[in-house]
Amino acid sequence: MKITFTVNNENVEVDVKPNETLLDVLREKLYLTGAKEGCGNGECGACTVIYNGRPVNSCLVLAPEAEGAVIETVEGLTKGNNLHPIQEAFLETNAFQCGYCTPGFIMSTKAMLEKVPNPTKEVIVERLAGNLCRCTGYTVILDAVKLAAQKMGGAE
Amino acid sequence: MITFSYDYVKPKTLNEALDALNEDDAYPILGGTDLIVKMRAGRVKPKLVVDLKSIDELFHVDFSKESGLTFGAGLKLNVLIEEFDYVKEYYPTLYQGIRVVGGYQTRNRGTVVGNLCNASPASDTAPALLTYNAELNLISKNGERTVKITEFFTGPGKTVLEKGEIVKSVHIPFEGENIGRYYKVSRIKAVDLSTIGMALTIIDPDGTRDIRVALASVAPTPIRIFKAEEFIKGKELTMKNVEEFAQIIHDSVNPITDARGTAEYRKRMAKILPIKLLREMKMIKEGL
Repeated sequence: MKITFTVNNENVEVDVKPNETLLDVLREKLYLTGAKEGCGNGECGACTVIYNGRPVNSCLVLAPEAEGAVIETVEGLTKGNNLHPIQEAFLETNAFQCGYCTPGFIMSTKAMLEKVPNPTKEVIVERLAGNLCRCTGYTVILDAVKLAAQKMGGAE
Repeated sequence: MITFSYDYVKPKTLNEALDALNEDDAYPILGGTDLIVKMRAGRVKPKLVVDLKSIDELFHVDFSKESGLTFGAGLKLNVLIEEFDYVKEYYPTLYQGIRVVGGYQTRNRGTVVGNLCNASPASDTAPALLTYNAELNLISKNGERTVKITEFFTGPGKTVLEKGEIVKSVHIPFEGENIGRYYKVSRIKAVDLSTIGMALTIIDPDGTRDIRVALASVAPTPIRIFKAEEFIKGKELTMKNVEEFAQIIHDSVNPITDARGTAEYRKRMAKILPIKLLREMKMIKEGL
């Protein structure tokens, strides 16, 4: 079946099967490999994309459910050669080691900062609890999110 | 990728959806955060997945102090608590229960009704709904019926829902000013199933003080402990009475040992939590 949706401001039409997930379609049909499959069960958040304005696990969306959706992936953040302030913040604070979880963290952070420009630590922890990182111990990720909020004009 | 194939339909009306759901091995999908996990594991193998997200009637929300809160099956967990302030204001225990279901991404897809229909003994929304005397409006080709949440669950993963029947909406009466807590004990703080969960709601805390308590992960279904509620009714909340109240809860639960905790630990927590929560709400009379 054919579905159409918007990904990173571009309308796409893709031929999908009901037993494919949105993550499968993004990675294997549109070659947007930023979102990763970690657990495939909605526990790790490595596949997080912004879906109609809210972060969701793309491994738990069936491809046909995405008909008409507006989707943002990490690939949509870079403008030309310029990184998004959240990406800069993750780089400057070394908020990753292996990098597998990073696109998911960045998309959860983006969705949060669009609604809560200056989040408290409690809000950050709640909003990012669905993203697991097995390398960093999270401290530097918290630093990155705070720095990103500053760069985007939210924090003092 | 899910390893088997099936058909997918997205009906525009409830009637069409109920027709589709009458077919063999047809499953409804709203959030999919339980269904897709089970499909990926091969534990559920639908021949037909019926997407209910185009049915406007399932997205209705309504609240007044006279008629209480009614919300459709389609309401996402986060939408319900972020976009309708009266959930937090008038049903604080439910608000707290919703906030600890899965991670933020899961709550952006998953629904309260899905959490109930999944019928996990560890449901984080069921205990609060039990304390608020929620009712579920069910619909199938054969008509509609209303079921009290105390009668909805029949075992782990099992409900009174019949073939082709869905929960259309949830109704929660508003019984007056109330305070409450949902407390979830889990191995990690976020994104885990509960080792034990307790909802404690007090209707009219400064007056008649009607205390209600319900638990997750201590029995084959989420359960409300009416016996303890009857004991504490009208009694002063001295430490002695509260301890006896907690003891009745302890004696009423029948947990198992599993990967998330032992039966002994769960029973112990079933006694400690009501004391902890009443103390947090400053309800226990000073002095022993």
